[in-house]
Amino acid sequence: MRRAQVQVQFTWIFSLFAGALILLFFITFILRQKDVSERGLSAEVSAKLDAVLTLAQSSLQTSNNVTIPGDLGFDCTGFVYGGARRPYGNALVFAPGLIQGKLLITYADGWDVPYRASNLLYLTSPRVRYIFLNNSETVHSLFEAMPDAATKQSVEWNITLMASIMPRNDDYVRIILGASSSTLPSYLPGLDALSPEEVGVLGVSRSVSETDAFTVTFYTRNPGAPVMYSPGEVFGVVGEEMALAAVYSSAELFNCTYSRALDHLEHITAVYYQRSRDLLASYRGPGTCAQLYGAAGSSLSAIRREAQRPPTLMSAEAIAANMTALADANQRLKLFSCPTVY
Amino acid sequence: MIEAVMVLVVFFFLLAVGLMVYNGLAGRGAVQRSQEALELRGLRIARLAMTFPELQCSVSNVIQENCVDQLKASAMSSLLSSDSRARQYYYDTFQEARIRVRQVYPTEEEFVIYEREPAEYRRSEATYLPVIVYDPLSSGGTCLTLHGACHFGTLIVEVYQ
Amino acid sequence: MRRGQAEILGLAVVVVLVVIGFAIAMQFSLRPRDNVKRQVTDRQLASAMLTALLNTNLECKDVTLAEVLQDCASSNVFEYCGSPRRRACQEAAYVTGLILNRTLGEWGKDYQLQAYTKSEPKFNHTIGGCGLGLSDRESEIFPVPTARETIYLRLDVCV
Repeated sequence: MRRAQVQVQFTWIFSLFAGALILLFFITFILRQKDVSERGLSAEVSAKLDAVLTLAQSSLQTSNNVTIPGDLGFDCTGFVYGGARRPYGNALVFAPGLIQGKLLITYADGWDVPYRASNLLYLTSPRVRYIFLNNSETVHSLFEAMPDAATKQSVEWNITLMASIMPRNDDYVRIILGASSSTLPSYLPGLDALSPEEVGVLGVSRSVSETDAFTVTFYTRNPGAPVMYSPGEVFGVVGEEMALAAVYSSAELFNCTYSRALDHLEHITAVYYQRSRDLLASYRGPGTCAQLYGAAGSSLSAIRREAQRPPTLMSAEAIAANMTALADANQRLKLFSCPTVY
Repeated sequence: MIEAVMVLVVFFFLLAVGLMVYNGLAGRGAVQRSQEALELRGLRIARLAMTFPELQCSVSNVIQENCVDQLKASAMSSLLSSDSRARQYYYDTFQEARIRVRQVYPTEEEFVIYEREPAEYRRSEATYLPVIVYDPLSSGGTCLTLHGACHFGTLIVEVYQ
Repeated sequence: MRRGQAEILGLAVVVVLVVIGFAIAMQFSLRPRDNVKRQVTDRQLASAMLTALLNTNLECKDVTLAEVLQDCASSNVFEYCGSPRRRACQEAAYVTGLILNRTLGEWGKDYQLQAYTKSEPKFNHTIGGCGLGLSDRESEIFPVPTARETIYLRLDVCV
């Protein structure tokens, strides 16, 4: 009897122990598989997003709405989704630091200097608001260049109208106006309650020589009252497409992406320069085309040199001036039925 | 008692066999996915190279699709062989790969645009894309809408893993 | 049935169920997956080959292969390259054969190229052969219109 009692107890203890062991094994297995699965899913979604962005980059001047599964972060090295990071590769991407929500708006345009240097990819979300204060032709032109799918509005330079602008539960508000390198008051007092992380100001102005060079200034908010904006990072950029890129982008991302764009410009200009020299070397016709190839070569050499310099307004103006000279030489080569430089 | 123990022994034996089979299948799936990823990378690089302004045929920014400019290909080849900064810049895009343009008609010529072969690799995958090789130096002709001649060539992209 | 026998029977049922489960799982896992690269590039290979072929200029004359094919479909009187000089259909056959040999041939792909009008075939090149099924080949046909009749260039690349 005693033996039987002990056996029953032992059996119960043994069953409990074995059951707990089996349960522990399966719970551990399930949790591990869940973790592996989540990481795999993040990587797969990142890869698919990468493919979408690659496709968007080649669909020029076309706005696309892409459904995204969650928040996307953008920094100098790549985009991040769910802990999985994908580098940009050669893509020139301009976007806010964080895009939240389910919808991504993509838009691409070519950067011509005057030959196609690269395609630029602009990303935003309907939850980011762009307010263009119409105090210059440049700002108006940028407003028109931005696709209609973006949440944008153009406001006439009128104190009453500007005072009526109120927050609309946006993730971020970007104010764009014609300005450079001077401290600004708050032109939209209705937005003063927003934190510095929720609102930013970008000043854009075209070069006085009316070339394709612009100054873009990322303003930072001064803490305390009255609300004021001080000029932060200032860049001299070439092309309206680059000025538009600054509208989309955070200051940090614009800094590193524009530097990469200039690197790319340097290398592609070297290719065109060598091409112009090969065309000149093999040309056997009258002297006009030879002179034009020589002139084109000088412009290309100057563009390459300026692309290696820091992005100031002076170097942007120098690039823009040589762009005009190169375009002129190319057009004349076409008129003389000679192979063009680009 | 003994039966309970035997049942547990058999159960754990089956569990062990099941795990071994699962690991085997998962491993095979990983190898397949790795091969697929390599193929997709080759495809992506080939498509990217075809849309590069550094290689594309164009006149006044009007692009000709599926066309490689011979002079640009030659210039790109010499730039990447002589300029280490340019090599590092394009490595971010192409990484370990070999990209070449091979003209097959009328004459056979080859330009190695980019080359970065790793010291050791388990496998490689080649992608071939037929292209027109545009020669602007050829006199008195037209290629598509461009001044010069169209030759037949292939863009060959080899990727490594 | 005694208790022990019942337990052994139960165990046997479990083993049988597990074996059936494994068999089904392995059947799905061992099924060959579609080759992604084949789906993407081979589908476009025939089309890209023909596009490039038709726009290729001859080595000795500033005409494209498309123009030579037009001549082949209509008069076939002009002479082109080679010594002795080849007529249009001969020249087109020579150039296409050379190019396909140096490309698809070297890549180890079987193919068939046919040039024909509605009234007669003009020339063809065949290396190996595709299967009978539609999924065994990627095909493309390009029509080249002339004043007289249209000549078709068809390329089948075996996959």
